[in-house]
Amino acid sequence: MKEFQTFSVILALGLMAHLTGCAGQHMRGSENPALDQMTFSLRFDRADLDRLYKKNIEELMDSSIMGQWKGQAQNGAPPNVAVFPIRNETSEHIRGSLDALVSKIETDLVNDTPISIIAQESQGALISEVKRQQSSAYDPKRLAEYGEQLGAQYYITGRIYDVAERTKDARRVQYFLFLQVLDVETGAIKFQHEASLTKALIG
Amino acid sequence: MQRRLPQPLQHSTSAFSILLALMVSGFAMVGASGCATYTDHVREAKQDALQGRTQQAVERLNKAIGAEESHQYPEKLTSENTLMLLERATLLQAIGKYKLAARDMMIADQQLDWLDIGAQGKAKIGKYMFSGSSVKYRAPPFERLLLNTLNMVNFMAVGDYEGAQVEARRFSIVEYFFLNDESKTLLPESLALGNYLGGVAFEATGEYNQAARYYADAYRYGLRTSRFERRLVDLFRITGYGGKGKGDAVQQLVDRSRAGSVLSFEEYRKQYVDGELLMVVQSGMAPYKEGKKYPVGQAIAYANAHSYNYNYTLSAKEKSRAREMAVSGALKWISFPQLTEKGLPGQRNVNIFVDGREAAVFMGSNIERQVEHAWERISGALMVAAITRMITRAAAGAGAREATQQATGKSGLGILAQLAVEGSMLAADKPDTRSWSMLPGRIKLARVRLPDGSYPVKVKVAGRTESRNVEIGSGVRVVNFSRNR
Repeated sequence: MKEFQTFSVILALGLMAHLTGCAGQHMRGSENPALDQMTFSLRFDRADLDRLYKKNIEELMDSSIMGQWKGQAQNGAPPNVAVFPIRNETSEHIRGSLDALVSKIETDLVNDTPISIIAQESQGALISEVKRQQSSAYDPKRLAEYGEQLGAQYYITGRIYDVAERTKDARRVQYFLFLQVLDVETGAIKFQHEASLTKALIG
Repeated sequence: MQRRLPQPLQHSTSAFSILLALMVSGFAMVGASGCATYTDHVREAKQDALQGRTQQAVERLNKAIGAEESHQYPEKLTSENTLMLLERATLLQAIGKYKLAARDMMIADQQLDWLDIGAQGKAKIGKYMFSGSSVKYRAPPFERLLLNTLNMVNFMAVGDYEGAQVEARRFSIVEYFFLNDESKTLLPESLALGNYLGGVAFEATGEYNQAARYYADAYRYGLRTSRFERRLVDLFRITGYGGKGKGDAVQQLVDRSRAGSVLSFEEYRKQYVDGELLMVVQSGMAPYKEGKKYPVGQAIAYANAHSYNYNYTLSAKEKSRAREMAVSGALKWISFPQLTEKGLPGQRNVNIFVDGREAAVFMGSNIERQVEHAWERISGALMVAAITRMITRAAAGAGAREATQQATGKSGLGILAQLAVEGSMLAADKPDTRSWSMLPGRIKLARVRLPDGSYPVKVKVAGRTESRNVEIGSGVRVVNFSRNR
């Protein structure tokens, strides 16, 4: 009888170990705010986007071109500004995050500055062309032509690139987000700033 | 007065519990791992794929990973279902579901990084105690490179060159790492196709400097046709690509590019990019692994004959121990995977017709040869691990026997304990047959330039035809054919 009890206990413990090993828990970011801060992969995620964006937009807001735009707005002639897609030159599939970044730039400029933003939605086919053409479209001359077609005096564009390295027991990706404001008419660079962050997978 | 149990019976109960625990854990291991190997788990799906029943093969893999539909993927990724995701991606690509195939490959790519980098130390212990298949799967270099190579095809097939460029960059990182770390398991052709497709991805969007770098590497690694040479000369002409100096395989092309007349980016685009149709044909299937029982003497001979890695060799003491155990009958054989082509179609003839005219086909990659080469280079070390495991198992069994005998004073229980330990380890000792087994045997390419319009493309693989209409306009079109293996 005792032997049977011993056997049953062992069996039950084994089953419990098996079942608890499979258990998982789902949760929302609102239930555990740390979720949004945790790093799940080397991919560029929302937290990375926020971090790089913050550094760049703060610089833009404090820049001389922003001061100039505010002056134009006070004189009743706010400039028209278009925001073009951010070019992905990384080794990660982050197109979705980059499109979100463009929307974020537009939103903040609309809410916090007096300039007129030409919404991406209204750029329709042109933006598709910019994305399709990639490198040739990122030629400043070509972009200036697109800007002119849209009636923009300035356009904001940028690129994100990475330096990715791999060793036997680690993989590291350093992301660099480079943001520029260009004058459509002259092609002159009116603002540029680069922010960076590093992510790693260490064994 | 309270009656005390006699001491011997207490010992006996405790020993019985130990024995029961060992046997239960032994049975649990049998239950958990069974006898089926990875190859057994994908065998039917593979047969379906070979017979052209690709959708059915996808459904079998869906079932195996616990997904109802192909857009679902396993919540918890293990080594085995990560590999199955790769198998499914290969099949989804064959039936034209490129976005799903790309997603599966991206998930597998990330997961393989985790498996590569995380918890290798812990896994090594498992490898020596139980079986090669208990160790987390570490994809061989050619599989990691082909993952990014074939994912470039997925992205380019839907015209997403930005996505293909990301895959090209990922390919380069892995290529650089493996060239520094495990170049002996790589054949040059493992690198040629990925670089060639990387060149296509960058050339398609006008990034000619990057295209020149990728194409030059493809040429260095052996992908050479006369049309490709002409393209390279003109590409070097517009980019000023200078090669790597004396002894570089592309040097004569660099010299020719310097001698030629000036060419503009626009002229290059018109001549080499617009109207380009690249056809990728995947045929046959790569050799796979299946379990085999090697007599101990043969196993030792195998390990000696395939000893390329001096960190993994058997010591004279280990060899002698294994032979002693073989003579005593304690160790009869070693379960070990062998590479096989059993049931595979072998080399296939491939013919490609564009608008009724046969296109010149050239070799993109001979994957059969890469699989065989990589296995040749690593199998000796794996055999050493398998033999060491068997010795460890025998030692563990003997230890259990001694401990039980000491506790109970009964030799019969000691023998039972030994059998339980050895039995459970034997059950867990599955030969590791894991590999990306639905990779094609060969990837062939054809590239033509056509005026704008719609063209019928027919691809014949061993008499079976796959047809498609392709629209040609500005830019490059990439089409994949991998349904008929």
